[in-house]
Amino acid sequence: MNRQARTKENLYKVFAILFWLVIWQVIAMIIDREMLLASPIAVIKALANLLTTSVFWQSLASSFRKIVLGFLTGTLFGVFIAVISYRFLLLRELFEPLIKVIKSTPVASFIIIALIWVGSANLSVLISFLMVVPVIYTNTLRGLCEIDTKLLEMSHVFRVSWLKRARYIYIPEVMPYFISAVSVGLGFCWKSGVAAEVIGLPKNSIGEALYEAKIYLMTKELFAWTIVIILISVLFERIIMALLKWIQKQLLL
Amino acid sequence: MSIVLKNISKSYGSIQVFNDFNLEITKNQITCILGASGVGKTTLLNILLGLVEVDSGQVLGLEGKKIVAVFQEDRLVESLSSIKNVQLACNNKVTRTKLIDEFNKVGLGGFEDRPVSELSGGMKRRVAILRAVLSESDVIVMDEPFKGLDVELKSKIIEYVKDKTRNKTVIIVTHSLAEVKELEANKVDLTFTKNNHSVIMNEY
Ligand SMILES: Nc1ncnc2c1ncn2[C@@H]1O[C@H](COP(=O)(O)OP(=O)(O)OP(=O)(O)O)[C@@H](O)[C@H]1O
Ligand SMILES: [Mg+2]
Repeated sequence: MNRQARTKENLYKVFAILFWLVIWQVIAMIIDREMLLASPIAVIKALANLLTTSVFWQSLASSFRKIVLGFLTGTLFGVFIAVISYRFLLLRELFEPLIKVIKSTPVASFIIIALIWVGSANLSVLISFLMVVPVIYTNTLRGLCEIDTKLLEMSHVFRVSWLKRARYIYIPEVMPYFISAVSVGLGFCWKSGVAAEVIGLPKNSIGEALYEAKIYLMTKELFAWTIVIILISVLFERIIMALLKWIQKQLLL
Repeated sequence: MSIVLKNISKSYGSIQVFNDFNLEITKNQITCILGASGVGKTTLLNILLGLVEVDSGQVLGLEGKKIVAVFQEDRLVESLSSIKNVQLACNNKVTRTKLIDEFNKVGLGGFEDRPVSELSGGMKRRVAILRAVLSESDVIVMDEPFKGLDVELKSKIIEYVKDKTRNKTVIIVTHSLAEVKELEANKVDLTFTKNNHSVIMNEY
């Protein structure tokens, strides 16, 4: 794409955002009940207010830490069981039903059970862990199974060391599957992690803030928090994706 | 010790490729294998490489030996650079400078750092050949290694292979008598017998 076309596309993007903001503002003005639909201007003001409170930063930090912890451990665990399932058919068959059950259980059921098991403080860690494991497991295993057997035969014939085999054949081949799983998994983590907090109400968490906004009908704050959650999850995803793409490139050098 | 295939039988389902097949391959020389398409040349190489299990019979003379290959399909890692593909197969001690020198010899100078996916068919073939001859080995098998190379280049590569594999046991599948001649190689003809899909051989 040339420079001009790119500038044009960016202009369109900015325009699209402004367009929907204006629509939002107009509808809010027509309804004229802040409790039902806060206007963008009111939300931005509420957001600015939030940013000045220490509770905001504490809640954000604590929820972020827990959800990301669940995500990271879930990712590691998912990759681990994918690798051993790839290696041993028995283990694959063993994990299969478990993963299917986790995948089809409603998040709400998990949240309630987890609340009983681990209490509210570490609830979102466990929930985000549970959400990410099946996605990572399934995709990584699929990637491993799709590696060209002819290449693997080649690596055996030439007696390529397992370290080189991992770095130059296995990991690069699996990386695209892994990256898309991470992207999907991250979305799951944030949505279900925050939902878990709304139910479990751990002290100083995003979920608690959302819940309070709900009971006191503080629609502005609710919207402001929602924007914060979207921004932080998108930002985090961008960082992780950039990191993975960088790793992907380094591996091939 | 030469490589001996003794009473080899191999079927794929109802297709019998080898039926009580015997062959001796002289060591430290080049042996060419010729034969019609589908007669079992690749299968034979795969048996030597240990990639295909025989139904019965024995392969003797490969115990403890390292046998490497130029496969019929290149089997290169497409996303990796061509030099990395070669490095994957050879000793870590072989320097980059030395490898670049070898790339130059087969007319691939300047293409070392290109990903294989960006090379032409004939270039990929040469990378596959480099990988096989530069890897430490006792025996090399090559399945139509010169496929897709023009006449002039082919002569150059044949000379290169001869030079690099001196005193090594090399088995080359080819469809061209001219190549056999240029390689100064022994020749084995695989032919279908009357009951189809079993094989006899004539050594000249
Ligand atoms: N994996 C396989 N499964 C079933 N049949 C196979 C398999 N590999 C080879 N065959 C059959 O075995 C026979 C010999 O095949 P092979 O690939 O060894 O022939 P070839 O002499 O190398 O032919 P070409 O010159 O076309 O490469 C053919 O009839 C083929 O259909
Ligand atoms: Mg063949």
